[in-house]
Parts: sequence; structure tokens; C-alpha cells
Amino acid sequence: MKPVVVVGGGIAGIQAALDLADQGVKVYLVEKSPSIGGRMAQLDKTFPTLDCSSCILTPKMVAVDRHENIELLTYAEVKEVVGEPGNFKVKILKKPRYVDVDKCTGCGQCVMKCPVKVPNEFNLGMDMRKAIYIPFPQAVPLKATIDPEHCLYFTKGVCRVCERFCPPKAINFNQKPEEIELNVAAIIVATGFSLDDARKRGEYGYGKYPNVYTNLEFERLLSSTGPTKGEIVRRSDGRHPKKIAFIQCVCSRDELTNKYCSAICCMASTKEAILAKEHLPDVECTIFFMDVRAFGKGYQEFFERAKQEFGVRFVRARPAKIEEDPKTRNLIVYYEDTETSRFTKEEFDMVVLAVALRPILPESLVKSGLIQPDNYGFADVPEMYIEPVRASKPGIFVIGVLQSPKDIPDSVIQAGAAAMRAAIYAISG
Amino acid sequence: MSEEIRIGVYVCHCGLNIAGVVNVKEVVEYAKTLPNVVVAKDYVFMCSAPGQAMIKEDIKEHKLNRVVVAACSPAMHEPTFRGVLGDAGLNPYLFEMANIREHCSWVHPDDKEAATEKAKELVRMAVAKARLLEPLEKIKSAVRPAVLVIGGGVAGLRATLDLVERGFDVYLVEKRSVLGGNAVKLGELAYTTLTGKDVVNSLVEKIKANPKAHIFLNSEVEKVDGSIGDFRVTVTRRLGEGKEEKIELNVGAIIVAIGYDPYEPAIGEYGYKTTDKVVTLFQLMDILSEEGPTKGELLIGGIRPKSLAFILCVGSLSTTPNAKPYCSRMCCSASLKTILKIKEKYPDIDVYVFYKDMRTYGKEEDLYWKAIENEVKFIRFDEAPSVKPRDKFVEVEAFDTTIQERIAIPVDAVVLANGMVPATDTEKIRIMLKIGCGADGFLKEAHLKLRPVEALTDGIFLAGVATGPKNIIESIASGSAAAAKAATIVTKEEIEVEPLIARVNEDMCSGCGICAALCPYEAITIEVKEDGKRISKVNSMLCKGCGTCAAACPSGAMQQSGFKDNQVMAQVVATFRGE
Ligand SMILES: Cc1cc2nc3c(=O)[nH]c(=O)nc-3n(C[C@H](O)[C@H](O)[C@H](O)COP(=O)(O)OP(=O)(O)OC[C@H]3O[C@@H](n4cnc5c(N)ncnc54)[C@H](O)[C@@H]3O)c2cc1C
Ligand SMILES: Cc1cc2nc3c(=O)[nH]c(=O)nc-3n(C[C@H](O)[C@H](O)[C@H](O)COP(=O)(O)OP(=O)(O)OC[C@H]3O[C@@H](n4cnc5c(N)ncnc54)[C@H](O)[C@@H]3O)c2cc1C
Ligand code: SF4
Ligand code: SF4
Ligand code: SF4
Ligand code: SF4
Ligand code: SF4
Repeated sequence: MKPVVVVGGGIAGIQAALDLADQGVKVYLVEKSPSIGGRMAQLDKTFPTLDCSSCILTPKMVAVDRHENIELLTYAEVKEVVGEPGNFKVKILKKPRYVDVDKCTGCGQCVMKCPVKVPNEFNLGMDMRKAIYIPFPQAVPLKATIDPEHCLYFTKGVCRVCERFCPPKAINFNQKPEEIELNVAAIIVATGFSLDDARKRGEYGYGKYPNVYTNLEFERLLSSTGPTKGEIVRRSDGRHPKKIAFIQCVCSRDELTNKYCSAICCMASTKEAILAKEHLPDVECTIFFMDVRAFGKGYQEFFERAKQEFGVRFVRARPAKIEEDPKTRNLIVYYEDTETSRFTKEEFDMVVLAVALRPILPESLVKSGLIQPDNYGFADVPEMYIEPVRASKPGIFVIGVLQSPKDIPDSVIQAGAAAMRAAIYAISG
Repeated sequence: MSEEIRIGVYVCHCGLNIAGVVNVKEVVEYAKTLPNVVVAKDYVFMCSAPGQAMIKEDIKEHKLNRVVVAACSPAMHEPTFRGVLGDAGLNPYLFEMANIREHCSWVHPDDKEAATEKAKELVRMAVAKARLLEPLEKIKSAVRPAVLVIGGGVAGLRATLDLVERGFDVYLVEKRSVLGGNAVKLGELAYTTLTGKDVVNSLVEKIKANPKAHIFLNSEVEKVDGSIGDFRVTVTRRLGEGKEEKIELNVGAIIVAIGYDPYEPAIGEYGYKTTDKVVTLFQLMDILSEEGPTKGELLIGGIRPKSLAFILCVGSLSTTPNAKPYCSRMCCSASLKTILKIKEKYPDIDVYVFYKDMRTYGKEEDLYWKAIENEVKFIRFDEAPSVKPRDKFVEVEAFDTTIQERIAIPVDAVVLANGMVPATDTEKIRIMLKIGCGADGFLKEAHLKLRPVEALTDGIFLAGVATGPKNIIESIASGSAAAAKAATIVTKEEIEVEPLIARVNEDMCSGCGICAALCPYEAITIEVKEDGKRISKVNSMLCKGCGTCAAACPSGAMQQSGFKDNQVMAQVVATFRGE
């Protein structure tokens, strides 16, 4: 039996690795960043059941770490793939963490002592981390990583404070990149997505007006491990908002940016409005939408609950523009309510943009022709009706948001499907 | 009588998570004073490799026979430390955890003294219980390397093909005389010239060529006994002339893929069945298919319509009193796909779409753009439109919310985009397999997001529309996903389950049956012995260890391993009495 490589450690990659490993197949899980978890680790609670995202994700992450059939290669990327189904040669580059992971206990002493502050990507730059860091409290593996672009030792040749304070002497400034070569039967790619750049819709003022947020930023504001420890406060003055507008389809269903629908943002905003109401019972939430895409199991019911139980207001409109009141930093939303055909404007003190999902295709696999982008840039599945997760090349599987915009349940289902198909190659390989 | 109890207590700092609030050293010193504790230590991260090594060495050096770790939640690291005991040659169940993080340091960050006292109490309770712990063995059971698939629609077919290709015997039981389910009626699919039937045929050909696949048509599952790894199944096959045959199967896992029924509008609902000019989308797809009644010609009520109105959400989104509250997910896309195929063949047709919300999610939005380009006219409603059959045409009337006016459009025919409702047999199957179903009537998954193809009963998996509306692509993916889950069981020769389950003391059991009535997993049966004595019996593969029965048993006969009455009482006493 031959092993399988899973590229990308978000929920899709995690589930695929577990479903293969539980079938007795050896799996290498390759993740670019220092920890697995992907976007789901950044979410606060999840629709439509409102269970806490990290509470349901962490046990899966721990299970991956502990599984005897899974080898976790974090902080690593696939450099090159050659071969045929049943027999691929995969070159993987492991970047140096400058921390000996066998010694590091994740105690965080180094992080406390490190003098350099860097914008924290886990919180989308809304607070700071250190040059040596553990990305989030539930990270797997729970190990420190030095960011050489900002570390004083790497940039100026001084400091080494972390080394001095590390109890088990885990810091190693001499670590070198490591190349690993694997021979595998199949490859599952689950490299997920990032949000599109909301500045492309300049009329909404993202990046210009401080109180305009992306929905992913808002998830971090809601989260107790976020930059404000779960307080919803405005970037401009730290005050609680009284009126929040959610604007849907930003860079989605849009001729200028992306024509497709991002599939999750109607429900994500509905959820975020409910959570805002739970955090601040007096806050008013308005969702500006074109169609409510409440298509999944329990979604329509969730939408009805938002309206009836939580009093979330839904306005069928695509706002034309937002202006900022320079004194109050409040935001004036201009829109035509299509259900009354009236042009009007309304003031809010916070705006959340539901921004389109853009797939992240790993370059090395695209270059070698193993994955092909479709006309929207997602990974193409030519035989979608019979093998819904098979990429352009047999033996390569594409799952999760990489392949089309989708929610967690559909990502998990595709992960199982890919694990099944890959296992067939593994046992005959 | 028995061996001397020797307990080791290990208090974790968890970095500063615990040590930043709780005075760990003080807790260690306190633990040393407790009866039977022979060693107590602290460490920054007990779960780290050095922490684990320390416990292992102590077990050998101090001849420990019980271990208590005061650290985080057992949900996090109980398996880790059980593993440590196992590696050191100790029974893994002689372990107890005191949660001094989630239950203490995290919730009392502002009162260090009180938190330290509470940590001591939690340790005292854990030690009191540890003294009474008993060794337990995992329960093992042999696995039959075969799978039963119920339902031969696209989801069941995909699952069957995957598992036979993976090398397992599959028994596919289909109620009807043909395979393929509803997909065979759908004609040409979106983004392709493939028909639903082509998709079905390509799967069926490969399945039929594989000797591991055993297909039973005209058959139904009549009875299922046993549990994960070892289900005993009785199938009834209809042989014609009223004859039947019974087939006994023995499988390790079951996949339920019984699909759905297309929503059937009531007579008069949108004019349905009061005129032959109103058809359902499901019927229209059959009309458009080469093998349909008109060989693919668009003929409705005997004429070739020049104008068509589609009404969406028929049977869904509570649009009429009969309609279901949920969204059927695929009817927006299926309608637009059908319209585009019609427009391609008959460019002169005028098409009106009456919709509530256009839900062409994801890449399917493409169909909406194309429909607009093709001058399909969209009318948005909140209140369901009314359909009035006239002499030569049908009038569809609705309040158009976009222009805020009531409009009436005469068309040659009306298509009702009917949704999906749970398959007729859902209730029967649910009861037979002891699996759940939700308020929407579809089968219920173990966890909506993270376990979408698993039923709440171990060893039973769910695929396709049986759990809720899906298109073919999604149904097929879930078929493969369910197959993967079944494979995780049938690849093993034996499965192991946790021994932390209910057990009956037969001498004390009065056979009252209270436990059997309360068990939410139907794990308990009341057996009648030869001497007529009634005794409760727990099926260890079905019991989830929830403890309901143990709490309810009036005789104290039912005990929950790992949480026996005396163990829990010792903990309670230690809480209040101190030591
Ligand atoms: C604001 C917001 C709210 C949401 N709320 C919900 C919700 O409530 N419920 C719900 O069901 N869904 C929700 N979603 C959707 C959910 O986030 C996705 O369905 C899910 O995260 C998809 O998982 P994935 O594994 O496909 O991708 P990701 O989570 O993006 O994971 C991809 C992983 O691959 C790694 N990676 C990327 N490139 C490479 C490379 N070249 N090599 C190796 N690794 C790589 C990344 O670092 C990442 O860890 C929400 C999304 C957003 C944006
Ligand atoms: C109007 C309409 C239009 C659609 N258009 C499209 C489209 O254009 N594109 C698309 O992708 N999807 C479309 N769909 C959805 C598509 O039909 C389903 O996704 C797909 O058929 C689901 O497959 P399944 O295997 O889950 O269920 P089914 O096809 O329902 O198969 C279930 C099988 O189980 C059998 N069964 C039931 N009970 C038992 C029992 N007790 N014992 C044994 N066997 C049993 C049934 O006989 C059947 O063969 C449409 C649906 C409708 C209603
Ligand atoms: S050497 Fe670098 S990582 Fe270490 S403390 Fe100094 S700046 Fe931080
Ligand atoms: S101080 Fe050392 S052991 Fe602690 S987290 Fe940093 S590198 Fe790891
Ligand atoms: S899911 Fe909703 S908000 Fe997101 S792109 Fe689609 S319609 Fe717009
Ligand atoms: S998919 Fe469209 S037509 Fe079908 S129930 Fe949902 S909103 Fe209505
Ligand atoms: S412990 Fe729970 S699951 Fe087990 S037999 Fe008792 S009631 Fe049933």
C-alpha cells in the first residue's frame, strides 16, 4: 500500500486526512502555515447551529496530530510533482522554524520576551504578534516559529532574547530548509481560499473608512481569542456600535470582479447579525441583500429565526455607495429599496462587507498541469457528474473552497469523497 | 485482601494558563498529604514528551497503580494520559483527571487564593475516586467485511462502486425493478450533454462488471439486528406472481441512500391537474428527454407552447399551505438549466420566471447570468402567484415586488418547479435502523457540519438526498463520503469500543425494565431466563455510556463503568468532608 499526500490543512484537508488514515492508509498532510486549522479556526460560531467553531474543530486537529497514520508537515509547501496516478513523486520544502519542535513545549516564554511586534495575520492585522509566535492558542502543532523577516537577529544580527529565556533550549538559529521527497499513490489538494480585495469596490470605502470591516474581520471581533477579546468595538473610537449594516455580494455576483456567487456569505452575515445581537442586545442589524441564499440544510429555518427571534432587518437592495461623516466617522449608506422602489440613505455606525471567496491554487500543481483553473479561477473538475472531486488529471483530487465556494458541511463531504477515491489508488499502488 | 493503592499526582502549569492563577507548588504539597498518594509533582506541560516520560518513569520507580493528572479538560488529554499508563504497563482506566484549567484557573483569574483552594479540592476529589477505580478492558468485536447499501439512486450506486473497487462485498438493495432512482428522469444536465440516465448507466455498467457487487432488485430490507461490525439483515425479494424470497445477509456497515420523492402538488394547487397546461418541472424534464413520452419534443397538453411561465418554490419555502418550510436547493438551478436548454432548441419561446429568491448559489450563478442574457423575464413574488386556466391559455397573476404592481401574464403553459420531500419509506427505515430524523422529515446526521454522512447509530451511514435536498453532483459526492466511512470500519478485522458503558449486576436486577424504556440508544433488552426471571441486558456495541439507565435503576443493579455509584459518591463525600 502506498501513501497519499493531502495539501492544505483547513477543515477539508483535515477531514480527508482522517478519513484516509482511519482506512489504514498512510497520509502526509502538508500545510503552508505554522498550524493546521485554516479559515475555520478564525470563525467565531458557525451557521446554522451556532456551535463554536474552534470547539468543534480543535478535537479534529488534535486527532490529526495523534493519528499513527498521519504525518504532519506544517510550515511546508509542495515544490514539484511528477508522475502518474498510483505513482507520483512529490517534492516538499519544509521551511525552517528556527525552533526545534521536538524540544519546544509551546510554553510561550519566548513570545512574552521577544521585543519585536508584527501585525498579526491570524487577526487580520487588527492586533500585533511577536517575531517569534504561536499563531493561536489551539494551534496544532503547538510550537513557536520565528518569522525571519522581522526577527532582530535575522535583520540586524542582534537580540537572541528568546534563546536566553527558552526553558528547554529549543531555539536554533541555524536551522536550514529541508527537502523531503515522497512517493505517493494520489494527491488531495485542499488549499482553500482568501477573501477578495474589498477595495475593488471602492464605493464602499473599505481601507479608507475605519469603521468598514470585512466579514472575516468581523468574525475575529466576535471571537474571544480575537483582537478585542470578543468586544464589538469601532476601529475609529473603540465605542460599541448601535447600528450595523451588512452589505452582501461585495465582489460577488458582480460583472466587474467575480460573476459567481460565494455561496456562504448570506448565511455568514445572518449568523454574524445574530451574534452581534447576542453580544450587544440593543444593536440594530440590517442586511442589504439581493437574494437570501439559504439553500442548505437548516438554512431557511436559520434565516427565519434571524428575522423573527432576533429582529434582524433584511432590505433587498444593493447599496450604491457609502459616505463617511468625517466628524462622527459614521457611515451613510445610499441605496434603492427594490421592494419599494425608493432611493434613500441611512446612517450606520459600523458596516460589514460580505466579501467574495477567491480560491488559492497551489502554483506547483498548476504549472505541472495537474490542476487546471476553470473560467472563474477555481480548480476545474471535468467529470463533475461522475467523479465530483477529481481534478483534470486522474489521481489528483480537489476539495473544499479551492474547487467552488462552499460551506463546512459540503467541504467535509467532499473530503470524504476524495479520501474514498484516493484510498482505491493507495491499496492498488 | 487486595493490593496496596499507590497513587501518583501530577499537576500541570499549562504554561501560565494554570500556573498564572493557581499556586501549583502549593497544590503539589497538599496532594502529598492525601492518603495513598506516594508521589506528587508539577511540570510546565504535562502533555509534552518530557511530561509524559516523567509519569512513565514514576509508574515504574514508585510502583504506582493509580495516576491522577490535574490539568486541562479530559476531553483534551484524557486519551493522551491513558496512553501513557498503557505504555507503562498499567491498565489505562486506572487514571483520573482533575480539570483545574477550564473548571478553575480560566474562570477564576481574579482570585488566586480561592482558585488554589478550589484546585486542591478538585485534586482531593480525583484522588478519592482514583482509589476506587477498577481496571477495564476495551470491548472487541469481529467485523464482517461487507456492506449493505439501501437504495440504488446515484448516491447508493456511487457508494456501491467505490466499495467494490476498494475490494469489499456490497449488497445493494433496491426497492424498484430498475436502478438509478430519480436521476434517470432528468434528461440533459447543466454544463454538459450528459443525461441523468447517462450518469446512471456509467455507474451501473462498472458495478455490474464487478463480481463483488450483489444487486437485489424488487427488494426491501425487512429486519436488521446486531450492531456495528456485525449487522444481521433480512431482505425480502419479490419474485412475481405474488411470490417472495427471504435473503439473510451479514454485514459490518450499512449505507442508507433512500433518496426522496418529488413534491406532488395538490389538485388545484397552481391549477395542477385542473388543466393539462400545468406540469411539474419533474414532468417537463421527462417530456424533454429523448426517451420521454414525446421523444424530446416540447409538447404540453398536446401543443408546442410559444410562451412558458415557471413558478419556483412549489412545495418549498412555505409558499402554499401544503408546502414545506425548507428550500429544496436545486430547483432554481434546475429550472434555469431547463429554460436555457429550451431556449437553445426553441429560441422564439418567451419565458417568465416567477420566483421568491433566486438561489443559484456558487458557480451556478452562471445560469442566472445566461438566463438574463437570453431575455428570460424574472418576476419576484412574496405571495404565491395564482394560476387561472382560460380557454386557450393560462393566466398567471402575481404581485411583482420589484415594480410594486399586480400583473397578469397569459402563457401557453405553466411549469411548477417542484421540490423534494422525504422518501415514503423514511419513517419505516428510521425505526428499523434506530436512526434519527429532523423536523424537516429527512434523516438526521450525527453532526450537521462535521459528521454529515454518519447516522447517530454507529456503523450506519447516510448518503444522497436521504438527509436533505442535494443535486446529483452533491449526492454522488456524499455517496463516496459515506463509502469512505463504511470503509474505515470494514477494513478492520476487529473494532474496539470504550469500556465506559453500563453493566448490569444480574443478582440485583429485578427486571423492572425502567432502564430499557429510558435508554436513548435502545441498547437495553429485557431477557427472560429459563427460571422465568427477567433480567436487563446491555448490548455493549450500542451503549454510548450516557448513564441514563444507571441513574434511573431503582435497585442499583445498573452501574456505569468508570462512574460507579461508589466512585462518584467518594468524590462527592470528598468535596464536602475534606480529608
Ligand atoms: C466570514 C466567513 C464566515 C464563514 N462562516 C461559516 C459558517 O458559519 N459555517 C460554515 O459552514 N462555513 C462558514 N464559512 C465557510 C468556511 O470558512 C469554509 O467552508 C471552510 O473554511 C473551507 O475549508 P477549506 O479547507 O476548503 O479551506 P481553508 O479553510 O481556506 O483551508 C485551506 C488551508 O490550506 C492552506 N494552504 C493554502 N495554500 C497552500 C499551499 N500552497 N500548500 C499548503 N497549504 C496551503 C491554508 O494555509 C489553509 O490552512 C465562512 C467563511 C467566511 C469567509
Ligand atoms: C424537479 C427536480 C429536478 C431536478 N433537476 C436536477 C438537475 O437538473 N440536476 C441535478 O443535478 N439534480 C437535479 N435534481 C435532483 C436529483 O434528482 C437528485 O440529486 C438525485 O436524484 C438524488 O439521488 P439519490 O440517490 O439521493 O436519491 P434517489 O434518486 O431518490 O434514489 C433513491 C433510490 O432508493 C430507492 N429506495 C427508496 N426507498 C427504498 C427502500 N425502502 N428500500 C430500497 N430502496 C429504496 C428508490 O427506489 C431509489 O431508486 C432534480 C430534482 C427534482 C425534484
Ligand atoms: S531573536 Fe528574534 S525572535 Fe528571538 S526574541 Fe529576538 S527578535 Fe524575537
Ligand atoms: S520558550 Fe522555547 S519551549 Fe517555550 S514556546 Fe518558546 S521555543 Fe517553545
Ligand atoms: S451567498 Fe449571498 S452574499 Fe454571498 S455572493 Fe451569494 S448571494 Fe451574495
Ligand atoms: S432552490 Fe429556488 S426554487 Fe427551489 S425551493 Fe429554493 S428558492 Fe425555491
Ligand atoms: S448508559 Fe445510556 S446508552 Fe448505555 S445502556 Fe444505559 S441508557 Fe443506554
